[in-house]
Amino acid sequence: MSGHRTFPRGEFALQDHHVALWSEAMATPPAHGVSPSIALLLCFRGAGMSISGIIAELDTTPRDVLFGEISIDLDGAFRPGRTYSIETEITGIERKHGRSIGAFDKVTLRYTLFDGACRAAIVTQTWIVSRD
Amino acid sequence: MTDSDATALPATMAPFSFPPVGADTMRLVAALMDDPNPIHLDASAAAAAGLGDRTVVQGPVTFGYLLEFAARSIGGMDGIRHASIRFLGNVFDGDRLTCCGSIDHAASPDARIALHCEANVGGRPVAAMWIESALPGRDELNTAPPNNVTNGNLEL
Repeated sequence: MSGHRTFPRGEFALQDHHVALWSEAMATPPAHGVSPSIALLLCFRGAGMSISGIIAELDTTPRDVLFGEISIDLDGAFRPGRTYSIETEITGIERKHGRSIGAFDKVTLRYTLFDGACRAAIVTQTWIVSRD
Repeated sequence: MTDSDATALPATMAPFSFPPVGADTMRLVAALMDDPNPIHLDASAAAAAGLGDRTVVQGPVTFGYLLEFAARSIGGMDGIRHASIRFLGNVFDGDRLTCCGSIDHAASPDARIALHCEANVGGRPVAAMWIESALPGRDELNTAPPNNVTNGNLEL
């Protein structure tokens, strides 16, 4: 099945303390700049639907969801003090079978992040959703 | 660093081991991301999901550590224009990530450099990452919006 779905646009104001705490968690010193991985915080917090809501849309529970792959294409570094708006869509759902986990869905989500009118990044995630 | 400095970067990146990932980090990341998955916070939830008897480290932590590993070789993260990661295995509470990688100077025709990095736990591969980055000091690094706008009141 293709499973294409779009969600309302959301937004998230990235503040200094978000960057400081994220950098601490990622072992990133300030001199190295803002980790591109903070895009994942923006996606989780700023999508037009909560992650719990998206998981519910997939008719599963959080503990049955793992990341498979993540890809980030950046138009520039993320900056605290900016408000990012985020368009979220599920671009595909593919049923697969694995030797260790049995039946699962490979769900592909695409987030387009904007800083004002300018695109800031595209984040593609694949989620592995256990179906056994 | 200038373009010509790219050739000064070593082709092989020196391996680096991060301190073990602990519960404090997982709690912080769960709070920041508003991540509802209990396998990161509750060992019994991980066990119920068939993942063993320890909590599972969030994938973004592994991603962040690998990015930091790369930043040590290329002088920071501001030049990164593409990063992708494939998760190969779970990382658990108390695991120590060891990263290694290589720099391919010739992989990109537009003066970017490409890196391939891997993370393992005790020799068990857990993630592979690819990066393309401009070198710090290039003009394109100076095109980001000025950091002088503050708006919004969202809190943790």
